[in-house]
Amino acid sequence: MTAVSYLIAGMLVWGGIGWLVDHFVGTKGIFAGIGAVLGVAGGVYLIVRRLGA
Amino acid sequence: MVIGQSTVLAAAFPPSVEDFYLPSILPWGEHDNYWFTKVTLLIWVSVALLILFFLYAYRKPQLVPTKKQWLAESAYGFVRNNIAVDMIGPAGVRFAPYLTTLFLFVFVNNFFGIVPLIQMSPMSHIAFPTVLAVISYVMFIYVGMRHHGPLKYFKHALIPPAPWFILPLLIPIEFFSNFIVRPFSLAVRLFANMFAGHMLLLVFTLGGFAMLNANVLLAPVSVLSWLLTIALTLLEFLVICLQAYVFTVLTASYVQGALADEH
Repeated sequence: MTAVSYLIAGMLVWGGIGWLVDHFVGTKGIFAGIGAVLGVAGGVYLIVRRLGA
Repeated sequence: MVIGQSTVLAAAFPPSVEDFYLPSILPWGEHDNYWFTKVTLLIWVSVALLILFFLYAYRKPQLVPTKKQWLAESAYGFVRNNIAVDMIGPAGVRFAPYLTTLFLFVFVNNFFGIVPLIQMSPMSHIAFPTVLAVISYVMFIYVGMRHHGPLKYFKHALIPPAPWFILPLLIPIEFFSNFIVRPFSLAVRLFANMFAGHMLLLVFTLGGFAMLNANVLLAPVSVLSWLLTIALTLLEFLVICLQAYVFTVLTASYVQGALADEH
């Protein structure tokens, strides 16, 4: 449960920030994509640190 | 009084959100007046039921429990041992009264959804799960701040053990997942389950009527649809127990997270 919430939260937060950056810079979604990938990476890292042994 | 309101109100098919807004009880039968409806009544009935049941069950406690005392004790014992102590540890005993109240309150209110002639769960209105989720939210933050001190609690909750250069990536995720998603998902999970359950039963019941009205030859299918309503009511009972349990377990797990020491 917590793990799933970290993954989704990571994607939403950094994907959302990327989307905002896209919006202001005028690109078509490259930052949202990068953000989502970064967010998932952060989420996985958090799961390993917080929930792993 | 309640019976009059539970007869098929909206024969309109397909059912819509409107079917969750029942006519007012005081003043009787008025639409667009939501100060005292069946839902309000059911909430107070559930509160009264729980208070009366526990007062009655513990009125003359016996060493060898009577039947009603056994029922009350096993409800409390279940939440205390299988939720509070299991999730939080020995410190969980002091949360057991609240968790038991929460569990039984959610359970009784969910259960109204499948009681014949009532068949309306207050929890299918998002206001009630929201209030419960806010109570859990405030409680786990307060408990954490009491246990660690405010600054240390937020530091503990927001800053994971990680090298400094990766922290800017992680802190927003922690904040979002711990302080925004939690109360939201808690409220929406319970609400959506009860809403969908009620909607499903409405579709099958009203669908039976709709088919019967459309063509008499469809009568066997209508009967099948109503039989399925009964089957789905049993399924709904499973959802009711599960959601009451899940709500309580998640509240306990958030409290546990707030109390946990750094490792």
